[in-house]
Amino acid sequence: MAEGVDEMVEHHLLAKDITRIYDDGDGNRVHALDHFNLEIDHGEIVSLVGPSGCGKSTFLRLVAGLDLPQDGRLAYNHQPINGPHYDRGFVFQDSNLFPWLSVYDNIAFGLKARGLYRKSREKVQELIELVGLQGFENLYPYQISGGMAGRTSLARTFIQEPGLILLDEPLSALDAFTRMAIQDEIIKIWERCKPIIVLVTHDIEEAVYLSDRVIVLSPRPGKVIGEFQITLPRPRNRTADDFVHIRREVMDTLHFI
Amino acid sequence: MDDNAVSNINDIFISKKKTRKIVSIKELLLLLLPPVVMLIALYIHMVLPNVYPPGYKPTVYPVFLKLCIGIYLLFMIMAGFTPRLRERMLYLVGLFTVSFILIEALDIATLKTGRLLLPFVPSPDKIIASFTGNVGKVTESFVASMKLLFIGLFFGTVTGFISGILIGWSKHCNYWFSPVLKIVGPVPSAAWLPIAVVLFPTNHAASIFLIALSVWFPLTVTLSSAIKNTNKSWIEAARILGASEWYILFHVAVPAALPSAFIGMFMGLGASFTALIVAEMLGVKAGLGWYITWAQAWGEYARIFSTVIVFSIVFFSLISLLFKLRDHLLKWQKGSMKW
Repeated sequence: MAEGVDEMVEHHLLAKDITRIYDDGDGNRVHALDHFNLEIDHGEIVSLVGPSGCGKSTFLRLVAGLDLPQDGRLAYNHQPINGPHYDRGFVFQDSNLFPWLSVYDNIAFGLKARGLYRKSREKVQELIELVGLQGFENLYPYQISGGMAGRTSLARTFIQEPGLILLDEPLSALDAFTRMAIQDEIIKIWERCKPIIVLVTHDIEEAVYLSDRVIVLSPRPGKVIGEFQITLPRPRNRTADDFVHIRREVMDTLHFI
Repeated sequence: MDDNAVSNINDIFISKKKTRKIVSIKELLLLLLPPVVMLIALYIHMVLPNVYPPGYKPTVYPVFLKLCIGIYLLFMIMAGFTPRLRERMLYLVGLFTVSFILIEALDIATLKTGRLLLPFVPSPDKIIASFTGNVGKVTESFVASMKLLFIGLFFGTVTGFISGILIGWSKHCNYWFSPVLKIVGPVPSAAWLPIAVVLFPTNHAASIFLIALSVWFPLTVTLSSAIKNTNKSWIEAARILGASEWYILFHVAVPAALPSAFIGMFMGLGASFTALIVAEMLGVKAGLGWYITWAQAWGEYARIFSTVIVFSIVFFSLISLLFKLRDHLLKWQKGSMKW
């Protein structure tokens, strides 16, 4: 997987028998993931839900290449993952913007770091408009609201047009209205080039609203205890009967943990 | 109806805050306080006889007071048109007033009564005269000092940035150079003086070394430790966005460490002033520190006082300049730093 990943490439993520054990500092071994399996195909949005400590975030860090598994096979587009790469984007929980860069420069960071900014600077403006940040380009992170920071963080990742995007509770710190608005924006940007999205969330409505598949995990070690295919057409109606029905089913699965 | 109410409220607020052009009586009286005190000082100075030292004829102090009154009144007229200047002056009124009371008190304690004895405490007139009478020499010394200081600051800052980045980023550099930093750095420049003279081909180079050293040390320490402790999640974010190690160093680690680097630079600037005075002991022919040492040898305390005043103005300006630079470069930080 090199530069200019062909749009025709069918992106694919495979996790087989992944084991990740942590040392918690008191000499205890914590099994975050134990023989964890997951396969995701091109253009799919998959949500991982489960209680704290079920290894959801650990899994995202492994796929991002920020951490390595002790055992198992982790492959993206049939290549083993052994470090971070811009084709596997990551949206952090707390937006994690660079405070010394303006909104514009935060979004342009990836292009500049890869030396593509001169060629494709119009993309920055395009993304800014797509997530509704016009007029805020020159503000610094301390000057913007949590919602705007979240949008900037999404734009910073999506501008790279990665084949795979990892979202680690990106909207958990936002109020309900902002969250719903940004969920629609995520779908809007996703529809442009249909990357794989792996979303970790505590919000079941969010998971059902966004995903093609919701995976419910058990705590320590993380094991799949429920899997729901969601075929409802988008945009989805949060109050429709079938939506509420799926939501209830997911809730029930979590309840039995 | 509602719109009217809103605009009325706005009018009230705006008229209170911005558009008020007329100065109130109270403000006017406050603003007039310093020139009144200056006038009283001038009056006391003219009326009381000069008794100490016998036969001394003051020349410049009355001129100085009149000049101050003139300049102040000029500012007051300008303040009538610029509300911001007015605010500033109203804020400073107290300090101005007390300063001139103290200056006149010194005048009374020395020239008018002889309570404080020469040569150690000269009268304001003598201090000002020692400055105005030696403008050429003082300027020459000022230029020489600034030249030395700036060359030293330049080398100290450049090498401080280089070594700070190297020690902070590279494990090898950290292993080999941080002991050097820890051994060489904490030694005050005065202690280096005899060694520097031997090590460097000229005294000028040794002086520059001493000043540079005093900036280099705190800058390197603060910068390298800030780079070592760069927030891990920024580095991870940059890595995922496709940044190389070099790009991360110069576009993440260094900008993130800049606030700490400025703290080091402030410390270094303070230390460099001391180093400057020490460095000017190395056979220079002009310089403010040299001038003070020279004046002391002759028992010319008036010159010492006036040079110290020049020193404080110069150093105050340099520190203010660094604060301005900091506020400009770190405008991404919430709030600016005041001193």
